[in-house]
Amino acid sequence: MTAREVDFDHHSPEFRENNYAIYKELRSKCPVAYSTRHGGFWVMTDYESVFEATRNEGVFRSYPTVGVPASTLSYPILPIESDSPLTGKLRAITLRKFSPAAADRLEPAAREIATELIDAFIERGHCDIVQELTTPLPARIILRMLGLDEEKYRAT
Amino acid sequence: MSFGVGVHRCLGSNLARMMFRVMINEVLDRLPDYELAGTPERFEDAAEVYAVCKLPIRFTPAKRLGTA
Repeated sequence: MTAREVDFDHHSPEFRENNYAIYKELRSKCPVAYSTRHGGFWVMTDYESVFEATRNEGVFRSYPTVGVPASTLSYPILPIESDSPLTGKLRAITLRKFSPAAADRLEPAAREIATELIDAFIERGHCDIVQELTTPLPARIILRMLGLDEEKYRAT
Repeated sequence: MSFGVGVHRCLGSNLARMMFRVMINEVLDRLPDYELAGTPERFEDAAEVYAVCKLPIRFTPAKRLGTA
């Protein structure tokens, strides 16, 4: 593995505006690079390196945090911030609840919520489709799956 | 849309596809002539994904379907 230090910050406005161009340059010049930002981290930008890394437990670590910079929480966010064997145990519990069949069973609920959300703005002739449909629908489905009060989907 | 590979492949991908299908169907059925009604606003810090937090649209008003 050859590495080169690069000045790469995925949180910068420059990256947000030019992410594809920046990825393209990194990929062509140095698909496995090391950024000194946020305390230092590795950046892999080509399919082959990323695919290989995900299969190498020594390289692809998710515990205690996947954040760059590191999460400031005092506990890992599960299941993503875990490594084998815990990841496998957690997936064994959750996979059934998120299977294609489970998704199909939730389709009537999604349709009912979509109908209700669209009803709330359809007479108006305009809306913010992200705030009024595509954000609340997944939030309410998850709350419904958990058996929690789905009217409390808003953060505030 | 990409859901990743390996042991941490997106757990919610089946759910995401189902919800996306439902929302696309509902929008196309009920707001078929929708168009952009302003500038979409992206999250300040969401560079890895093209994530908009505001997407204003306009369309011909129509009747409510539900009783709620």
